[in-house]
Amino acid sequence: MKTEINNQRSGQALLIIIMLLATVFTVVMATSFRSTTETQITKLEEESLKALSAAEAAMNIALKKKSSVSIGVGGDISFPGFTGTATFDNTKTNSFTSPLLQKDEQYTFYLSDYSIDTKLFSGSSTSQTINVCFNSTHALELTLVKSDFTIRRHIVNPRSSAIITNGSTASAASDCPSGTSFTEQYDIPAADVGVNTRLLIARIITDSSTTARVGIKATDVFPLQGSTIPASATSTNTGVTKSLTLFQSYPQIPAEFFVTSF
Amino acid sequence: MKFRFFIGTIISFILALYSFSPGYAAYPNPPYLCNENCSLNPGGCSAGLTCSGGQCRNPSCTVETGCNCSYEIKGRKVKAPNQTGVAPFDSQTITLDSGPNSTGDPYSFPGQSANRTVSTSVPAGSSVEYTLCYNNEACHSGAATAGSSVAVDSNQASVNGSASDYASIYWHFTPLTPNCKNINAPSSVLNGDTVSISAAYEDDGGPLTALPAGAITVYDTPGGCLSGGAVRGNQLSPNEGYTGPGTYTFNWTASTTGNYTAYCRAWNNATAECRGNASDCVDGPPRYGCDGSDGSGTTATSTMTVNNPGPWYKVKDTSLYKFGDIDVSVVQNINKFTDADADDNSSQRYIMMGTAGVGIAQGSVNTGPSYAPITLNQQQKQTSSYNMLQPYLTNFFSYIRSRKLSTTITSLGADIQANQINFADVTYPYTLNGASLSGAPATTILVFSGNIVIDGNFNVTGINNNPEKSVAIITSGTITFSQNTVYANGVFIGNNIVVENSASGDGLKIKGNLISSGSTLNRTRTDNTRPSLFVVFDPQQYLDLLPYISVDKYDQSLTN
Repeated sequence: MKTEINNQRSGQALLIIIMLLATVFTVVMATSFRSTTETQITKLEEESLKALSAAEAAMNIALKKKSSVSIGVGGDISFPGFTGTATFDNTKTNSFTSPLLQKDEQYTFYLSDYSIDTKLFSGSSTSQTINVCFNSTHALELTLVKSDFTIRRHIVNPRSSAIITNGSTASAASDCPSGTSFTEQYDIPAADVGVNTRLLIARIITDSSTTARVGIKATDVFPLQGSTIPASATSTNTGVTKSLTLFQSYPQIPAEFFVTSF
Repeated sequence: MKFRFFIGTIISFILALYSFSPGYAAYPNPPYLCNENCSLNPGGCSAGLTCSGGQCRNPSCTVETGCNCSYEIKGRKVKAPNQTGVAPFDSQTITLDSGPNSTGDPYSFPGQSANRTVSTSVPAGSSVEYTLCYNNEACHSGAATAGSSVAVDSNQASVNGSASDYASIYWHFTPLTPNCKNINAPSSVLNGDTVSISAAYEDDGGPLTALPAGAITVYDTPGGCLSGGAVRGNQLSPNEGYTGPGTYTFNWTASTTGNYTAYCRAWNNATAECRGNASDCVDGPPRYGCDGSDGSGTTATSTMTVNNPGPWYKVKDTSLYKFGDIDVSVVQNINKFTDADADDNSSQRYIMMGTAGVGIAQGSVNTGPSYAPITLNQQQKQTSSYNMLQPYLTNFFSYIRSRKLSTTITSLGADIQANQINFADVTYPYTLNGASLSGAPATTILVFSGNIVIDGNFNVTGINNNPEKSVAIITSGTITFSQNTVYANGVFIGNNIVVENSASGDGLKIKGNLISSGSTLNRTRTDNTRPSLFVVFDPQQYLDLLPYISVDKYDQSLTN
C-alpha cells in the first residue's frame, strides 16, 4: 500500500516536470523565432541603406570624373558586398522639366548643344514651336539668346491674373511634359526659335512664395540640358537594390545677374 | 323877403342837421392843414398840399400822413446778373437830375423829397439794365429793364415820413463780350518742349466773331501781362481754322525757364474783348474780364512752370528692376547718347528700348512730363510695388569659392588668369582703369571684396591698345564710376553703384550690364535731351561669361 502511494507521487512529479519543460521549451522556441525575424529585417534595412550609400557614392564619383563608374571587385569603387554602376544618360528627349524654382528665379534651357568641357556651343537649334509650361501663380519672362548676340522676348501671364501689365496670356496646358501638373502653356513660335537660338531663359515673376517648375516640350528632341546620372547598387548577400537619378544642370545664370538693376 | 327867409331857414336847418350827424367831428374851415379832411372841399387844402384820398397831403408823397417828403435813393452797380465789385462797372457815375453825382458803390442820395430821374454812365462795349424797388430789395434778383436812366416816383418811395424810406436801384451791366473758359495747360513744362493748350470759346454777352492770334496768350509772370497797355508775351494762333464757338488748341514752345501765365481772349469784332486773368490783363473798356466757367473768370487763366529737364536713364535689350520708383521725366524730343552712338535710337523714346523685358519698379512707375510721359517700354510691359529677390548677390562669393575654379591674384593685367575666376587680393578702394586689362584674357572674371573705382573709359577698344573683352567685375562693395568715365564695357555687379558727375558733362554708357542691390544716384548731364546713364545689355558677354557667373542646379530622385 505504501509503495503504491509512493509510485503515484513519483508519477505526478514527473508529469509536472514534463509540463514545465514543455512550457519552457515553447517560450524559448518562440523567442528564438522572433529574434531571428527581427534580425533578418534589420539586416535588410541595413543593406538597403548601404546600397543607397553605394549608389550615391558612385553617382558623385561619376559626376566628378565625368564618366561612368562601377561598384564592386575590380570596379571604380570598392564597396564590399555590393555591385552596381553609375552611368551618364545622354538620352535626348523632346520634353524637359526644370528643378523646383523659387520666386524670381530663372532657368536656362539649352536649345543648342553645349559642351561642359569646352564651354562652347555647337550646332544649331531646331526651328520648332516650343511649348513652355508653368503654373497659374506665376508669370514668365522668356528670353531667347541667339548666336548672333540678339535676343527675343516673350512675356506671359497666367490665364487667371495679369501679373505683368500688357503681358501675353497663356492658354490652358494641353501638351506639356509629363510628371508635373502644369496648368498654363505658352507656345513660342518656331520662327522665333529659328536655328540660331542658344538659350531659352525662363524667369519667374510672381508674388507667390510657392516653388514651381517650368517645363518645355516640342516635337523634336532638345539638346542635353545637363548631366543625368542614373545609379544603382545591389547587395550581393541579400539582393537588395537601390536606384536613384541625379540631374546636374548646365550653367544657370541667376536672375539677379541677368536683370539690370539699380 | 319871405322867400329869402325861407331859404336861410332851410340852409340853417341842414347845417344844424349836419352838425349833429355822427361823422361830424371837426370840419374846419379851409384852408385845411396836412392830413385834414378835404373830401367836401378838395380845393380847400393849404398851399403846397393837395387833396388825395379825401386828405390833404404833400403831392410828392401822398401816402405819407406828415406831408414831409423824404426818402433816399441808393443802390449798387453790378455786373449782370448781380456780381458786385467788378470793374469798371462799380465805378460808373450815377447822376441825379437834381444834381449830385456818385461814383461810389454802393451809392446813396439821401434826403430826396420829390420825383427824380437817376442815370448811369455806361462803359464802352457794355450794356446796362436796371431794377428799381421801393422800400425793399426784392426786385434785384428779378427781371431787369434795359436802360441807363430811370424815373423814381417819390410817392412810392416816401411812405412813412422817415429817413428810412428809400428807392433802391441796381444797375446791371453786361459786357458785350463772348466768353472763354476751361483753359487746359500743363502746370509743369520741360524747357524746349512744345505743349498743347486748349480753351473753350462761346457766345456770352456778345457773340464770338473771331479767334485771331492771341486767343491764347502766354507771358512770363514776373514781367506782367501788359506793358504800356499793350499785351506782352506769345500770342498764339489756334491750330484749327475758326469755325465758331467751340474748343480750340494752341501750341506753345517753352524756351526759357520760369513761371508763366496763359490766358484766353475772345473777341466780339471791334465792340468788345474778354481776357482771362482780368486783374492783370484788362486795362479798361471795351476790354473786360472773361466770365470763365463761373462768371468770375475761373478757368480762363492757367499758370505754368518751365524747368530744365533732369538726368534720366535708358536701358537697351534688357529687363529692369528699379529700386524705389521709376520716376523719370524726359523732354519730348530726345537725342541719342551721342550723335554717333550706334546702339541708341532717338526715335525710341523709351526708358527700356530695343528688345525690352519686363520693367519692374520696387515702388511706383511715374513717367513724365504730364503732357507727354515717356514710355517705359514699347509694349508697356511692367509691374510695380514688387520686391525682387536677389539671393545670389550676397551668396555668390561663397558659392564660387566652393564650386568654381578660382585663383587669387594681387595685381591685374597679365596676371589675370583665363578660364577661372580671379579673386583680387588688393588694397581698397582699388582703382581700375584702361591699363587694368592689358594682357588679360579675352574673358575675364574679377572678384573684389571692397570698394572699387572705375576711373576713365574701361574695356573699350583702343584703350591701351586693348581689344574689347568679355568682363565681369563683381564686388561685395561699391562700384564707383568716376567723373572721367564715359564708356565702360562689362558686366558690373556691385552691392552699390555710384555714378559721379562727369567732368565733361557727358553721360555714362555701359555695354554689358549694370547690377546693384540698391538704388543708384545718376549723374547729371549738360544736355539732358540725352540719357545720362545708358546701359546696353550685351548677349555676347553673357554667353562668354556663362560658365563663370552661373550656378548649377541639381535635382535628385529615388527611382527604386
